Amino acid sequence: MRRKFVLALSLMLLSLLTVQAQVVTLKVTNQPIREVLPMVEQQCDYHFFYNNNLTGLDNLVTLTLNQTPLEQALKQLFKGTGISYKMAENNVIVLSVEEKKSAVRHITGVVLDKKSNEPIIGASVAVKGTTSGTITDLDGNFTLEASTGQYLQVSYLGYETYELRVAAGSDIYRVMLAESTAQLDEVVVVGYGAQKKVNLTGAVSVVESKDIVGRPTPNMVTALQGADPALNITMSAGGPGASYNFNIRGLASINNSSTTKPLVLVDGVEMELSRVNTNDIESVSILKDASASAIYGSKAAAGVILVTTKSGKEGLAPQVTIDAKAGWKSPTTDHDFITQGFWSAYISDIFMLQHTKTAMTTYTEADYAELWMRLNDQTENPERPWVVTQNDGTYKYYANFNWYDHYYKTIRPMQDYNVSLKGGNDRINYFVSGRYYTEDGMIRIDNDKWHQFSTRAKVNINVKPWLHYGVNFSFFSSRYTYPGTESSREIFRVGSLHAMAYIPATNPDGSFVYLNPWIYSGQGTVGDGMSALLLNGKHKNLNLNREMVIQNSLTFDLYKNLTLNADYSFTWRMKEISNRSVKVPYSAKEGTTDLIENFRSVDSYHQQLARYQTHNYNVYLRWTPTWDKHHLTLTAGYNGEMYRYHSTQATRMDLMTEDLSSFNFAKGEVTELSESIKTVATNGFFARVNYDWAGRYLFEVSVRADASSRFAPGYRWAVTPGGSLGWRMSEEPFWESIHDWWDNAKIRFSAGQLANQMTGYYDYIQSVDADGMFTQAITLDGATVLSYATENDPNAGTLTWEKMTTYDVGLDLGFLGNRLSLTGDFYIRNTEGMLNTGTALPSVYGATDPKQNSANMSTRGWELAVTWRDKHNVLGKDFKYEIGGGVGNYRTFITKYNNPEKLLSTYYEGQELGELWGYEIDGLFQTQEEVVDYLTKVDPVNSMVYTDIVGVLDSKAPGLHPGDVRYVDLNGDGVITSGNNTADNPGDRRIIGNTLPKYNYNFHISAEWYGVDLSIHFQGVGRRDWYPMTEATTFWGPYSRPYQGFMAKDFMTNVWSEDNPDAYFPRYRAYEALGSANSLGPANTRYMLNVGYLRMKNITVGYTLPCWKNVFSEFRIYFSAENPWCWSQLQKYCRSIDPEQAVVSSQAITYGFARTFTFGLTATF
Amino acid sequence: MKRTYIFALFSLVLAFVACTGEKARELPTFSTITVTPAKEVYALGDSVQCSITMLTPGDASLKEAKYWFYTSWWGSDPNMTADFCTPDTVDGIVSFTSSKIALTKAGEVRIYFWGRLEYPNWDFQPVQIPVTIHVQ
Repeated sequence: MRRKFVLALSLMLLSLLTVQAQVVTLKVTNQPIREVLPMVEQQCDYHFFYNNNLTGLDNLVTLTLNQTPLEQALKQLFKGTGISYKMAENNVIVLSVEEKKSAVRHITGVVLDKKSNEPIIGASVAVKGTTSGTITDLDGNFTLEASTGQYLQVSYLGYETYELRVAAGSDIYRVMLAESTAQLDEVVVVGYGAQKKVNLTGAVSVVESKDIVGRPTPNMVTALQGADPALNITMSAGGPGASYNFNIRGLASINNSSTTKPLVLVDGVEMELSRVNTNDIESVSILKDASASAIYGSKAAAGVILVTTKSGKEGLAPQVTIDAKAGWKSPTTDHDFITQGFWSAYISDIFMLQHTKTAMTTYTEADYAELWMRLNDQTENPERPWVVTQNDGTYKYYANFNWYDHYYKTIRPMQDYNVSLKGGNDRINYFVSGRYYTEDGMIRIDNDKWHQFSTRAKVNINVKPWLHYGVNFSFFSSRYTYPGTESSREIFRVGSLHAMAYIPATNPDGSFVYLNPWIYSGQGTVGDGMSALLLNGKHKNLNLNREMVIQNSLTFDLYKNLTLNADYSFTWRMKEISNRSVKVPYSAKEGTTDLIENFRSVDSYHQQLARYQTHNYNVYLRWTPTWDKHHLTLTAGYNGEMYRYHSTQATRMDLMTEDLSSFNFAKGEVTELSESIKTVATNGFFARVNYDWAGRYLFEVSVRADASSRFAPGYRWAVTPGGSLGWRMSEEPFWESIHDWWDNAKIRFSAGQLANQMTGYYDYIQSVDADGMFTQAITLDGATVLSYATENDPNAGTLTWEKMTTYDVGLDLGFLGNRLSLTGDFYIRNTEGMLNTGTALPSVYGATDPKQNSANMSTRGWELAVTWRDKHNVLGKDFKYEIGGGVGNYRTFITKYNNPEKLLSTYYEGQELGELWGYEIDGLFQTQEEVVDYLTKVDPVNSMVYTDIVGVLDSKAPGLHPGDVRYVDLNGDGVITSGNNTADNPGDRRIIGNTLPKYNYNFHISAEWYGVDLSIHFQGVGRRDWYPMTEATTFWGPYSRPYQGFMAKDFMTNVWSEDNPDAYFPRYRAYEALGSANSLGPANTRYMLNVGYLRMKNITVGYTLPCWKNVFSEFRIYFSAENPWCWSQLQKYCRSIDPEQAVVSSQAITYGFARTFTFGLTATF
Repeated sequence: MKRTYIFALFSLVLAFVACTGEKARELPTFSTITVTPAKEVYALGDSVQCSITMLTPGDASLKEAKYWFYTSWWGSDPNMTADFCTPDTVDGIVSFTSSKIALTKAGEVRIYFWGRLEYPNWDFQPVQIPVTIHVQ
């Protein structure tokens, strides 16, 4: 003990001597302490540790030190600054502000509006740095306790926060709060510039970064879903890297709906939305009407989304932010499917027996007894094995196999790491970020994996006072590896076919199950071979995407308020796809191995390499003169773009090894070797004038002229004008009397035209295909097969731009200090000259009628958004909260189309886009008497009514029976038909619904108090009709295919029987939903579903820790969940299909949609 | 007051149970399996016959029933299948008798009486009654 004490004492003395031994020599004159500290550090072994915002650091000092001991030097340095210091371990000197203890005093005061001198009720008055605080009463008065030298912070929403120091000898204060101009000064990024939000005259909505940053989504697409009611985003699947479709205010054209997408510009450069890191986002502007988008011309036909990324700032010390989160994904749907072999066999057999006289399984009563005895065996009981080898060596199956769990993972991990650095001074500012994201896919066997990496570096340099240079570089890379076939969707489509619970995936010797005499008489191919293929583990696929964007920009300050901007950006994208497949073994008989014979079981290697290059140039002048109350902005410039796509792909058979995939090992036939090159060039000139008088009368007009190489010379140019007017009534003198509660009122009107060039690349040129090959029968030498070229159908050389004209009337209102804000828009968009088969030519023409710009359509819609944001002082801390929501709807009608007969097989004049034609069903027949009575009125001449699959006349119970659906004879002609399939004669059909989303809505709640933050975003669609078609097998179950393996455990409780007359589904019968000729095939009122939904899109709860303030300016931990909850009417009848999954295709077969749960932390220092 | 509260709560719970509780389906009951001839230990190769008596018929809504005898060693034997049996009614007593079962497996083995009872709306209920015998 004594020795330890002596040792400690020695160490203390040693450290003291070390301090004493340090001396400082320096001479400074009027220099900030901040700059002196590094000089001291250089001369001794100590480092200063302090908060950058420490008061007194910027005090100027004049010092002359000559071999002065460190402690003495520090005393001199900090003299009179209020800064104290403490020598800590590891040669660190911690600086802090001296705490001066003084007597607590009672402070009273009043808070008034600086403009009106009226008292402000409910203003927050807090003692800075403490939890002490209060709010003002009805007369604006407040009372609290504070000490001399402490600061009072007075705040109120809509006003600038005011700080005052409690001075000695003064206990009464009068605080005048000035109205905050923050909201008035809020700037919105618009085309080729930025505008004050209050001065906007076009329909532009802004998504704030706080609503999307940090969300546990792999990309920005899903984060933007529901951000604005005008923005419709549909994911094609739930898997990693899934593609998506999106539009603003509905489809802009009936042509190329997948390519006529809104233009997405990230810092002015076109990019894939899915490749933008949400953590890089500063703001997102959605330009919804033509006047706002017109300046972007040809690519902006479907609207524009402007993404602005973060930048460094002048005077910002280097700031590092790290965000890391990890969690898991799980399906949004239920997957509690039948896993008892008895029920899977029984249901498929009873359904099949009602279709034909042959059962599905061909199992005997003895086999059913075997299955029954194993009913509750979740694992194999030695007394009752799941596979019994027969005398001839074949395998007979009595399993309770969970095929869903065999194929898919229900819990899969994900991780997301972000780091960024930003800062700047008066000459340079910078922002650099990096992200790594990874998630496991849902395919369990040979698990699919997604890795994504992205980085961005953005530097702005003030080269000269009149010259500014900026460089913005971004790189994205994703890598998706997955097993199975080239199309990862295939597993979801065929994996469950013949994958019945009574059949396991492997035989006792480990061989794979595929074909077997005991499975559907040797005709049932289990999972269409997908299970064997996956278990074999030799099918390998890789999807690699890389994108690099470099943008260089120069801004010249030519003259006062006159700038010239010039930028050039180069975008390079690369996509590499490789697919390896092998021949897949299986066994139907003990000791034997066969190879699966289908197109998925071939020994081949396929590779595709596609490169995309875009050069984009912008040069424009911007002049912003202001005189008196007149504000003018003139923008004019040029935009050019050159795009080139080059793709090569090849497939070769028979590789020397199954484990290595390269063309070097392939020795067989080259089955594919092709190349594709496409180029497009556009040139555009644009000009825009913005004018406002005193921020009261607003005016904007723009024009753009575009030329596209997609059209023939003479038809290449399109001129698209746009204009808008706005009147801020709230700035009028007569508004003064109500200005204290009604802060902002603006009415705006806009009209504009946009042109769409999204036709084919060379549609105006008649092309020649040179890849034809005669069959082997046509040769000249008896051996060499002849090739040939074919001329395609002639095209109309007069093809030109589709044009969209939009009219928009909008209203922006703000009340109660702009705490309550409301925005509403009504719009009409007319699309004219859509490409469509033109005037029918005489049949002697001999070719398909060429397309012409001959179709028109019109969209009418509205949007409304309301937000309430406020803050109150609760227990001495600001409680900030915000509640908001939006809703919008639109309807689109075809106003011109060359279909005089109004055939329903294509568009027709007067048609509403998305309309769903179908039959009306008046319940299910309950008794034979009802059937007989019906047959006296309706002649069952077609198979729908007869409930008999076409061509199968040997069914066990042909004809109408109790439990069948009752088609209504709408036109009263005694038969149920589709008429002549025209709108004028649709037979017994009528419009029963609409497949487009109606009433897109969103709402959100967020709150912040005492370092705790909470935000909840909801998103939904009010109505969207969906008719589950042929292959929607998880909905229809055995009504579609009696050998579909994924069937809900309670499926039979919804099936009609005499014991269950109120059931949803009709009497059991296989194949009734497969094909439009059967009773459930055509769309009808009974089984059309509303797949509208309400989804909790995100919930985030965070806590900013009050500790480590000396190290971190922010240290926050949080929990965030994406898609944690969803409600839809669809769930009443089918819980295994997500409502968004349903609308992807009428068959609802996709990679499953997922919910994500994550825990994360954000640290800034 | 406390008693009143407890009484009210109890009444509520009782009412809730009475309204929502589904009446359990009454299944038939059976005697134990009688193995003939009765022995303490059977020899490998012996044959036995089993019988069982239905004590109560259960719910009258029964649509269809299938009964069979089965042994613990038939499961992996492709030649042995369920020994289906039909009810034999004498003087109102319903009984089931198996075929002759050859004892081909030594040790503690089980013979089961199985049933699959089909009630309306695809409500299938099992019957499983085992007996264990010793075979040397």
